[in-house]
Amino acid sequence: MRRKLPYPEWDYVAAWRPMRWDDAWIERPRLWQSAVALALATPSTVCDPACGDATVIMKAHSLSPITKAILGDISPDTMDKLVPADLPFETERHVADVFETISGLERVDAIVLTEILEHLEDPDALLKLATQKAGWLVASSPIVPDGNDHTTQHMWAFDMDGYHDMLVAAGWSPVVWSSVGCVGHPYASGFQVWGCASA
Amino acid sequence: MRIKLEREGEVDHQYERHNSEWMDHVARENVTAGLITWLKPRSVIDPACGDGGIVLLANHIRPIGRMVLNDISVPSTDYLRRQVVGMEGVEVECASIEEALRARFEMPLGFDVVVLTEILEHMEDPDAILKLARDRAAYLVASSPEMRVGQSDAHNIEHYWQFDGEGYRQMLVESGWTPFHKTHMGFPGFDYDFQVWVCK
Repeated sequence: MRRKLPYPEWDYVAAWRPMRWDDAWIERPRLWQSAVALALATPSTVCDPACGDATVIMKAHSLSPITKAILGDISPDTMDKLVPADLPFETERHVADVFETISGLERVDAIVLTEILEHLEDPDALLKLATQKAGWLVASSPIVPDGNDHTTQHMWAFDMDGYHDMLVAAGWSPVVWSSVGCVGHPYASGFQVWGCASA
Repeated sequence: MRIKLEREGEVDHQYERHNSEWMDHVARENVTAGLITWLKPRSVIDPACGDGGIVLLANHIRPIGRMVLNDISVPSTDYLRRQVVGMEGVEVECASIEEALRARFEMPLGFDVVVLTEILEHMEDPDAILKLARDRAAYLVASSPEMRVGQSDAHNIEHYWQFDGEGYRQMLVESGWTPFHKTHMGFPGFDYDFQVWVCK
């Protein structure tokens, strides 16, 4: 199941979120699982075009050293105020939307698309573009079995089958999947985290 | 679902085995270590630690003050002792899981976390192990293979039990634990998944 939601487009530059996801105790298992799925590919170069606080790449680096990260975010405030200045690997930083960042990439080992596909009008186009730029993908989104996502910034709701089918149709081959759930989280069915190789 | 598998004879535990030999176990080990660090423990006991990799990785990510690493396998504990030479706060012991969970190790206030990963399915009486663990720690991090419809663990002669997610959850609850997190991880084409639970 995948469902297009009726919510209007969101202004992510004006309404940036001044919070580090890693500061939220209940979010950490999801972030960690994304890092595990990324580290599984032992990537040297990684692009996270909607990086938020860059937590996923930082955690993955603690499992498998990353030498260079291309970080992007549409919000200049997010890039300036949430992404640490002193990351322990080389970084290239872009204030740009996800399509622009990935389109401009030289090939990298892995691309991270966590908690972003559900925000996009056309997630399929981004996933297809990503297959041309990397051999490994980490993607995550909420699991919403009934399609009724309460988050008004989300343009899509997925269950795991719907997400799997979207990844495969775009040219990705899932290698590891997981569902991550915490009692008390507003997403009662948890989050899905996928590690995929380009098919 | 929880099924007791038909087994004949005792399994020989005297081998040295490393999780790094299999991609899926590397992922499972990394997940489990991360969930241990999530709890910010100052003390951890892993009474069936194998190569000790999970707790040592957790300690690498976020230092743990005291770690008791026990295994029934002499080769595994010999290997582990060599790995932790010079490390502070690590005790390596070779005993059964039951001995390790009883009052063998002095810790009057108990441990912050007890780790039971990929072991309950090997035990004749996993409920008894979980109840012993309940008396030893505030939090539990447990994992085992998870079987969905069409998957079977019958070919693994070391496993006495197979569980789906609900059967495992019920076992945890009936042993006095309250689950508050689950990671369910699978690999397309594999005949089992992993379930990793965090309980208080």
